[in-house]
This record gives sequence, structure tokens and C-alpha cells, in this order.
Amino acid sequence: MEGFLPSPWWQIWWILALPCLIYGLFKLKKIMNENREVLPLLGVAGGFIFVLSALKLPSVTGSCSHPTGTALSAITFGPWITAVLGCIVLLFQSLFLAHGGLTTLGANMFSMAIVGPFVGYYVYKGLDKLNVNFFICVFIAAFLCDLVTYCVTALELALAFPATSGGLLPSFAAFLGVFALTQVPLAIIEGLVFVVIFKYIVILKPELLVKLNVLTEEKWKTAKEAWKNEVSF
Amino acid sequence: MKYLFEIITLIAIILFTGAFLYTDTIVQASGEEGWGGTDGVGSEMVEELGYEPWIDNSDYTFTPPSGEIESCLFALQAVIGGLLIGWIFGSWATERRIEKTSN
Repeated sequence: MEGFLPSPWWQIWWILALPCLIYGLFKLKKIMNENREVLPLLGVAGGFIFVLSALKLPSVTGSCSHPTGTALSAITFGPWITAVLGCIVLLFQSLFLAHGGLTTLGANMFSMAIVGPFVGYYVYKGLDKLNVNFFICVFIAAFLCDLVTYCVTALELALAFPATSGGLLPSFAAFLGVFALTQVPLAIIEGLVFVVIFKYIVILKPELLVKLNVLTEEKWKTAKEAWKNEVSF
Repeated sequence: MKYLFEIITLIAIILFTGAFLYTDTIVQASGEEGWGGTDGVGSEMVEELGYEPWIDNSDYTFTPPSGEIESCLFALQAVIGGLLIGWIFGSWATERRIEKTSN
């Protein structure tokens, strides 16, 4: 939505997003120097953001929206590297598809590539500490990555356009009604899709997940025992 | 169950599609044009407040001249991602198979 964020809001979101992007680039460089074998997984993570954010799906509310696809990258690489991947996708969309724009790129990055993955990542880590089943953690994290993105979008618009009577809250509620409500069914589907994706990564390349601290070696051994019936190794 | 997750996901997608078809009959009956993007709905809400967008994509870059070209570019985006995923998953699967047979 190019042009829909007036000054000073688009500058504010850019200023907030930029340090995250730079820190992400720094982290990306570090991880690439340390172990090259995670590179394919990074490609897959980026690929999913490309695919899923290109799919505009009709939701039950009568309008269309697209999933974010950031969960794989957020859970495995953390929110900072996701900021870099998300930035690439959003830049592609704003330059070639007139979807989003350069002035709103900061705000879009902040919602889709920073806050969404940030919440997803830390919720995943928290649930993981509580010994919740790995696949349930993935589902909840992916669901939140998607939904939180649109809640933040609604907040960004509400801050720029507070209601004339009542200010921020009624306006936030109105934008939430448009963005977040449509997103709920899509977020559930996205969560389930990522559970299936993680299942295949667990089957094919569990050592990468251990390396990236998504699963600990110990947990992986006990989990292998527990998942014997659900996953074939 | 070996394919538990796949089955759950499939059921969810079928339910989702069913819900879409059901709402679609309501949307069609209302006579209004439905299934626009949430971005469009959001923009309309802002424009109703009397706000005018101060910059447009066409000011500095190209905008897809028609809906067909736009959907072509969106499909291209999905293809790029899909190819990357398919290639890497394919190599991983082959790697695994070679490992298994050599053991």
C-alpha cells in the first residue's frame, strides 16, 4: 500500500527496521562463514517466504490475503536473519508487482520480517523449554508468525490514522477487523503446512536442526523414540 | 499413524475450501463484488477518512499494466521459490537414499 503511510510514520518504521536488517546481515555473514552446510536450509526458508507470500488466498470473510511463510526461517535461523530474507521478498514485490512500496517497505519489513518472526521464535523457544511436543511448538509458532504480522500492520495503520473520536483504540480495532480476522483461517492452514514441512526436514536433515539449536541432541534422541509411529526415518 | 500430519492438513484445507464455497454463495447473493485484497479494503478505509496517498509505485517504478501481467509476475515469484525448495529437498532425499543403500 504505497503512499498510505504519511510522514513521519514511514520514516519511523524505516528507522526501526533498518538496525534489525543490518544486524541480520551481520548474523547471516557469521553463520555462512561458520557452517556452509546450513546454506541449503536457508535457501528453502527463503523459498517458502517467496512462495507463500505470493499466494493471495480467499479467506472465509469475503476478502483475500496472503500468508507470510516466515515460520521456517524464524524457527531455524531466528528473527534477525528472517529480516534479511523478508526484506528481499518485500523489495521484489514492491519493485516488480506494485505490491507494497519503497516508503512502506520499512513498515512492511517491521511487521512481516521482524515482529512476526520475533514473536514466533521466542514462543517456540519458550514452549520448547516447557517440553511441549515439537510439532505443536511449530504449529503455534507458525500460526503466530502469520497472525502477529497482520496485527502489527493494523497497529501501524491505526497509529497513522487514529479515529477522530476515541483515538487509537477504535481505529486499531477497525483495522484488526479487516486484517487479522481474514488472517485467522489462513494462519491455521499455514501452521499446519509448516508442521508437514518440518516433518520432512526432520526425516531428511535432522542434523541441521540440531546444529541450529532447534532441537538438542538429547531431545532429538528421545523424540526419535517417541515419533517412531508418526515419522519414518 | 505415518501420515497423520498430512491427513490433518488435508482435512483443514478441505474445510477451508468448503467454508470459502459457502461464503461465496453469500457474497455472490449480496450482489457486491467480493474477494478483493485486505490491502484494498484497508486502503478504502483510510481513503474514507479523506486521506490521499502522497506517492504511488508508478512514480518511481513500473506497475503491472494489467491484472494478467500482475498475476503472471506473482506466479513467477512462486515458481522461483518453488524451484528452490524442490531442488534442495530433492537433493536431500537423494543424499539420504544414497546413504541408506551404501550402509
